[in-house]
Amino acid sequence: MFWRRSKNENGLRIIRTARTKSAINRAVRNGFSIIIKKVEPSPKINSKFSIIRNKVTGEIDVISDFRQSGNSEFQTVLDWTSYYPHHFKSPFAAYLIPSDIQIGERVYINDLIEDIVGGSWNQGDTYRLTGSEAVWDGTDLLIEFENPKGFTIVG
Amino acid sequence: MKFNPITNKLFSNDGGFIKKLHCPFKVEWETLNGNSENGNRSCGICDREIIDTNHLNDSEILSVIGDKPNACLKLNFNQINLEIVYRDVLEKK
Repeated sequence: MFWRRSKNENGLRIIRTARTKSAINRAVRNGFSIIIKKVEPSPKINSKFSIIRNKVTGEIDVISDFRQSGNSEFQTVLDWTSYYPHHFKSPFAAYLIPSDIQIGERVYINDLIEDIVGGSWNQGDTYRLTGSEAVWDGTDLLIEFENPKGFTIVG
Repeated sequence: MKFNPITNKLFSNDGGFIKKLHCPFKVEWETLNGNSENGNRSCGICDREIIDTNHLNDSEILSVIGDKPNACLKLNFNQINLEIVYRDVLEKK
């Protein structure tokens, strides 16, 4: 599994994200400038699930690992299905930019608005990066993230 | 391209079967020697060329497999031209 956890490893200034109209306006009243962005789900981020049902009790279980299937006590009632696993409050959000930020300053965004793949594993699931370092260029935050290797298969 | 990690089968976007990926030696891409011109690498165990599919479209991959049926392919689940699916794709007639 290739998963790089999002951490503010360098102790940088944290840039906050507001995800509602009221939160954004509150930040504006408090002196922040804002960068508004669309919240756009990426087709490259997906999780999977299947639903199996106990043949005796009738109860279902939701599984996410191929190794959980194949148990003779269960039957598959919904085959493996890919889905986008995240839900956000609104289709827009804003980074809150402090008034004293300098051009070229490196910061840490702890709640990314953009969908960026943070990792993947050999069963196909890919994971969304939650935070990343970025550099302020005067008008926007340039996200600097080393693309994860991702799971590689050869054959 | 579409890849099913359950069956390890690779399909073109219109459902054409390309190849089932299987390596009996379970080689890892990172350990292979590379050809810097085209990004492909060679397997030191079976001497096959391993084609990096990251920058290839479906027709290019089909052409490669047609020319070199014994070639192996390398897929990275993060690559933009690859979709992960969980059932084998049916070819559209």
